[in-house]
Order: sequence, then C-alpha cells, then structure tokens
Amino acid sequence: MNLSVDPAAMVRSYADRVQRVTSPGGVSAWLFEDHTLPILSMGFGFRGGAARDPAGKAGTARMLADLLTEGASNLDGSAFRRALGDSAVQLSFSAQTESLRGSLRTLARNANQAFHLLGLSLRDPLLTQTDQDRIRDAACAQVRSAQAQTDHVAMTALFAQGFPDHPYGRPTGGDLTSLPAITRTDIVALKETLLTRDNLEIAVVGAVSADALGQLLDSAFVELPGGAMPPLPSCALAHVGERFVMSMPSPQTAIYFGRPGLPRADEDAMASVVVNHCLGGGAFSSRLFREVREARGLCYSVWSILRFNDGGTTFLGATATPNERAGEALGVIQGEVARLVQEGVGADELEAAKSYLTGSYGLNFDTSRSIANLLLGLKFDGRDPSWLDERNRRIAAVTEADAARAIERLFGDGALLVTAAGEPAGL
Amino acid sequence: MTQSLTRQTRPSPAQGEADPVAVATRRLENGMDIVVIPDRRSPIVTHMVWYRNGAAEDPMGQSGIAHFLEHLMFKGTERYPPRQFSDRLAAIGGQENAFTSHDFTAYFQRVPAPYLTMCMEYEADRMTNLVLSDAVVASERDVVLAERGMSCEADPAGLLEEAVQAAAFPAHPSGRPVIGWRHEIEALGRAEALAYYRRYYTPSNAILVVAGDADPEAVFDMAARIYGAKAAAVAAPLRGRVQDPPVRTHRAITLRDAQVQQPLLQRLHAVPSSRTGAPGEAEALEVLAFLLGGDETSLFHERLVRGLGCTSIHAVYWGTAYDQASFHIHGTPAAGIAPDVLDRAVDGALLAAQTDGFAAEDIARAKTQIVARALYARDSQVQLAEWYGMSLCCGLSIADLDAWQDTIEAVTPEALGHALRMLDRQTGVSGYLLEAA
Repeated sequence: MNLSVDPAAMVRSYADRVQRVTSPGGVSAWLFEDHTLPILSMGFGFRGGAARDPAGKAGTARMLADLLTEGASNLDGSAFRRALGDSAVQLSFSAQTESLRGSLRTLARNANQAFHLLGLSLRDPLLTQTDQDRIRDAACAQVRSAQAQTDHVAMTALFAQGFPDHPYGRPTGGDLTSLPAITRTDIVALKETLLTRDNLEIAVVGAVSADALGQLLDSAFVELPGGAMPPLPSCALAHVGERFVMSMPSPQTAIYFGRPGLPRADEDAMASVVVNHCLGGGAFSSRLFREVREARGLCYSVWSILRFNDGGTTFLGATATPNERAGEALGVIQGEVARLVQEGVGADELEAAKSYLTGSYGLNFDTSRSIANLLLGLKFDGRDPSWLDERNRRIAAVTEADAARAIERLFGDGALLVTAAGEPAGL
Repeated sequence: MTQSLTRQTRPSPAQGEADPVAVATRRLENGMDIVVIPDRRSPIVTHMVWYRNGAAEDPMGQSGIAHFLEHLMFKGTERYPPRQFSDRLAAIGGQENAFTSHDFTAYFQRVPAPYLTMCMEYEADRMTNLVLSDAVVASERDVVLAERGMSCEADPAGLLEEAVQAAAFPAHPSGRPVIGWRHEIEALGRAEALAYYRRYYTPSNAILVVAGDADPEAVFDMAARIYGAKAAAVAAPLRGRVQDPPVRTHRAITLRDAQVQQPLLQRLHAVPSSRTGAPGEAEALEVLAFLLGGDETSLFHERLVRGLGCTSIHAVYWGTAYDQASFHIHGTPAAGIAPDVLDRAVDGALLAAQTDGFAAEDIARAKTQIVARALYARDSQVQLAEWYGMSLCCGLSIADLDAWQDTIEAVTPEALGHALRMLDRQTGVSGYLLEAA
C-alpha cells in the first residue's frame, strides 16, 4: 500500500483557472479555458424553471425546453435539426425545478454556427401548435410509463405530500391533468419572463479564448430582453412523521423518506453535508449501505442526499426492497437515523467522511461537461469562483462539535416523512 | 456493482480534427495485456481491469454467476479484510465500481493520480486471493435478487426486454439475462462462485487499462512489478459459445400487465458485430442506425414521429460484441395506436429506405455526427478506457479501432442497402407491451 504521497502536492487551485468574461455587449460568463481538444462545452441556464409553471399547469417549462430545438426563425424543426447536425452541434434544453438549463457542445471550428443557431432558438423559437401537440403527447407517454414504476410513484408522492402548497410539490415533467391544460399562450408567457438576460448564468469550458468567447456570447445572448424572476417563497417539508403507501402491483416496494434540511447559507450547512455522508452518502461506506444492504441483503440500492434549493433544503433518501421485507428495511433505516441522533458520529468516521468529500471534489474536473456543470451550479448558488478552493477548506474545518450540532438540527427527533409504492408488508 | 450493456459512443482517432489518441500497449510475460491512454489535463487517473469473460460464459444452469461473482469480488482477501480497501479509497475521495456484460466483467477505480499504485496492488491481490464465507455469499445473493427485482421484475418493460432477448438468441447464451434467471441465482453458492473465479480470473484472461494522468512507461514498470508477479497459471480459457441457427421466422412476444399504462414496441434483430461482420459491415450498421433512428432528423423521426404522431422512436446498433450483435428499434406509439401497428409502420419505413435509398447529404450528416461524437467522447478518460477495454474484450485489436473512422467514412449506399436487408421482418423479434385487457 503506497500512501506515502504528500497530499499537499496534489492540491491545485481550480479557482485560478476560472476567467470572468464579459462580452462587448455586457453578457458575463465564467470560462475554464483548455485547448487540449478542439471542442467547446457550454452549460447555461435561466433562473426560474419548473417552479414557475402556472398553477395547475405543471410541465409548462418542460414543454418550453423541449420546443426550443423544434425550429426557429425561418428554419422549421427538421431544417433546424439538420443545421445542427451538419455542424455536429449538440444542443439540448431541460427544465429543472429552479432553472431552465441548456447544454451546448461544438467543435471549436464550428463555434460561430453553434452560437448563431443557439441565438435563434432562444430569441425566435417557432413554438408551433403542431409541435406543441406532439411534444405534449410525448410528455404524457413518458408520464404513463413512469407511473408504472414504483420508484417514480414513491418519489412523486414524497414531494406532493411534503410540499402540498408550494411549487416544489409538483412534478417537473407535469402530469396527465396539467399537461393537457397548457396552452401556447402559457408557453409564450413563460418564455418571455424566463429567457431573459437577468435570469441568465453561463459557464464555458474548452478551446476558446476570452476575446473569442465574448463575440460568441453576444451572438447568442445579447439581444435577449431584461427582467428578473422574483425569489421563490421559502418552505420546509411537511407531514414529517407520517407515512403514505401508494398501492400498486409490483413484487418490489420503493421507499422514499425525507426531512427538512438546513439552508445553503446556514453556518452548519457544510457540517450537515458531512453528517449526511456518514448516514447515506458515498458509494459503499455509508451506515445505510452497510446496515440495509451489506449486513442484511435487504436492497440493491440505498442512499440519502441533501437537496439544496433556493426556497429551502430537503434531506431525501430512498431504497427498493422485496415487498415482504419493506417493513424490516424501513425499520433499519429509521433505526440508523435514531442511532445517529443518539450516538452521533465518532472522530474516525467524521475524519473519513471529510477526507472523502474533500478528495472526491477533484474528480469533478475530468471532463469539460462535468466542469461546466460544476461552475454553472456555483453561479446559480451565488458563489464566487474562489468557492472551488474554499469549499474543501470549509469541509476540513468541520469539528465534532459542529457535526453534533448539525445532527441535532438536521435530524431532531429522527422523524421522517415516508412514502412507499408497491405492495409492502409491515408498513 | 451494476450490470451494464455495451455503450455506443466511441472515442476516435479523429483524423484532421485532433491528434490521434496516444495509446501505448504492452503484454506482460504472464499474458496480461496493458493499455495506457494518457490524458494530462487533470491529476486524475482511471484504473480498470477487464476480464474476457461475461454472462455468456456462465455454465448451463448457472446463469448470473459472472455478475454474482462481480459482487463477491468486493468481499475481501486475507491481505485486504472486508471493507478495508473501500475505506482507504473513500479516505482519498476515490470512486470504485464494477460491471458485467455478456462478453466481459470489469472493475474500476477513479483516483487522484498518485494513488494508482494502491489500486493496482489491490486489484492484483483480488485477482487470485478472494476469501468467501457461506454467510457472505448468502447475504450478497439476496442483494442480487433485490437488484433483479428492482431492475427487471418490478418493471414490465424490463420483463419484456428479457423475453425479447431470449427469443432473439434462442441457443446463444446472450439469450440469458446478464443478471441471471431468478431460479438459477437462488441456487448459486460459494462452490459455484469459486469454481468460476478460479477458471477465469487469471492474468492471461485480463486486460489492464489505465487512462488519465499517467506516463505509459511508468505504468508498464508498475504493472510489471505488481501484476507481473502473478503466476501464469493456465492459458486463457477458450470462448466457444453455442451459436444460433439461421433465423427464418418472425417472432412476436406480447406482455399484458395491469401495471402498464403506456404501450411500447421493442424490436430486436441479431446482426453481425464488429468482430463477426465482414469488413465494413458493422460500420454500415452503425451509420444505418443513425439514419433510421439516431436523432430528430432520422427517417423514423420524420415518418413516424412527425408523420404518424408516434411519440418517440430510436434505432440503436450495439456492435461491440464477441459473437452476434443487437440492432434495437424501440418506439412509443401515440395514444390509440397499438404497438403492432407501429411495428408495421417501421416495416413501411424500412421498405421506403430500401426502395428510395438515403439522400447523399443525409448520409454525410450522419457520418459527420458519428465521427464528431467520437471526438467528443475523448473528453472523458472513463469513456476512452471503457471503449478500449470492451473492444479488446470483444476480440478487436487496436488496429481495428485506429481504422474505425476511415471505415465509417467509406460506408457506401450499397453497404447501407445490404445492412437494411438484415432488418427484414422475418429475421426479427417484435415485443409488444400492452395494458391489461
């Protein structure tokens, strides 16, 4: 075992690699320049997203995202797609809870054409009724397929029960009631409030200089209108301590569980990340993995995460287990949460978790897309590039006292909101 | 610890666009092959060991043993008691996992570059020194059964896919699921696992792939010291799989299930692979899949989505296989249209392609995108490592991979016509997923 390498020799400043670029027209972006390969990846997004769907019309942002590559200006859907393909440009959009995100990948030599086509799709998408109807049918088909899956049903139920009066409770992709209610007027209205320069964040990685990028940014984004989304109301997961079983024919039961988490800006947020890692993070090392899977063979997959949203944070976890062992699996999960609350984490476990979280951060830097996504996430979180270095310092600084306080604040009495889908025994 | 299918995206030499992938190869005296793919952009390295055996080598009656053993390989050795390596890896923020297909089993770690040695020492040790107890085997068997429940049995589309695969490969072991049939998994024990392990886990059956921040000569030296110490116990096992007879009948498989709310079409043709096909055949099938259902400009998309109102349709050719490969056509019909009606519409589109051919600009666009995807894939050291590892496990050579881009660009309309005839209805299996009557 060779562990004699000095870890300090490994540390590189990633923050120093990030350039803040402002185009001649005033569009700003972060650039991670690398000319090893003649390609360019851009992650970008508009603050807003599915949480801004009109009431009763969940799925509007998702339909808008799907329609943005279905033709623009004088190019119908087929012609627009052929133009992308002729230049090997990969362009896609997706609606997330709090943003509408886009991903662009192009050969460096085709960057002008790539940004030109992107600009058309953002400024002047066709949004035809025919395409809308087709996209809606496809969305409904996806919902119907997903409704046959216990994992999807249990997850959807967790958000619906946990956020009954907040946009977080609605499915990003819409449902069979909301999708048919969406009109072209809804989609156009959302486009006009969402696709603005004030809502825009951009991160670029690859073979482009800051000057060249400025020109490209202007060709795609400078003509977008202004206007910023107001912040979402804050909220916390409700019905903690209750269980909801969605009965459906299946040999397996999917179980989701959750509690409110600490806000992103909370001084204990990093400690809560470390504590969650001990409970259900990572791959093969967490308490849940060891107790639910390794020691008892109750499942293939079990995990927990902290979902940091602008309106609040949610602790969220899941597993899937044979129906007849569902009660046992949930009992072990609740037992592990209770044990964490009662016993806390030991010094060794805390150090191991911190060591994993700091060491694994660098693995995000292996592909252009991964780097672009990481940078874009920081921009949406309102961070500075210095966070790329600061984040590990914050994790390393978490003490046993911090962890104990985070456990108390995150898990309190250990009660969970639980949803299950399948034909579970013992729930 | 997942099963996975071979993936389509491949990194390419991308001539004219970028320098060729600088791959260095070596073979140790004990027969272990080494491939090093330097990528110095970040101080990260991917370490993989591939074994030239997968689910298609599972003995009769023991389907799932390759995948089960993949799980058991994480249970420790005398030198590395259970969890010890995983804990050390976690302490440096490294990642590890493994996957099994019909043609290979692979183990990998992603770590900061200085820890390559640590990964090699562990992987070399568990190549021959695995320690298994009956209790550990029994508990992990439950995990695999839960995995099968989650990935297949709880999902009607997964059950149909399994049945379609079984029909498309009636005698060849690719007809059995990688994870195994439930009743056979239930009978797998310690003795079966160890017998399989001793037969296949040898240096001469293994390929080391290192991608990322590493110097080839240093990797060769390190591997010679660590893996080279393994005795060349036996020659690599021969891969003599039972082959299927020629197919002359269409087969339709129907699954009606109360859980289903959205009908689906899953069509599968067994076709030549990169290894079994005549020169250029696999590449023609790859271009054909793109032209038929690779993106939103494809023939199926124009005719069946924009035209018929079908909600989605894709054609995928997985050409990296040791024996015959799979050509999939998956579609979601519009509301009120049955999957068999969509299936007939697919045949109509195939006939039109056969009669009219493809436009020259469509062929050129497909080739441009296939080649560019391969260049984009070079952005990922993991994808590079996977592509080289799986290709070598499926009997291809580095020279085959080097020639790939030229062969794609040389695909002719005649070769596409020849490939189209392999999708004749009479040679395929059509799976229909239906709502309960």
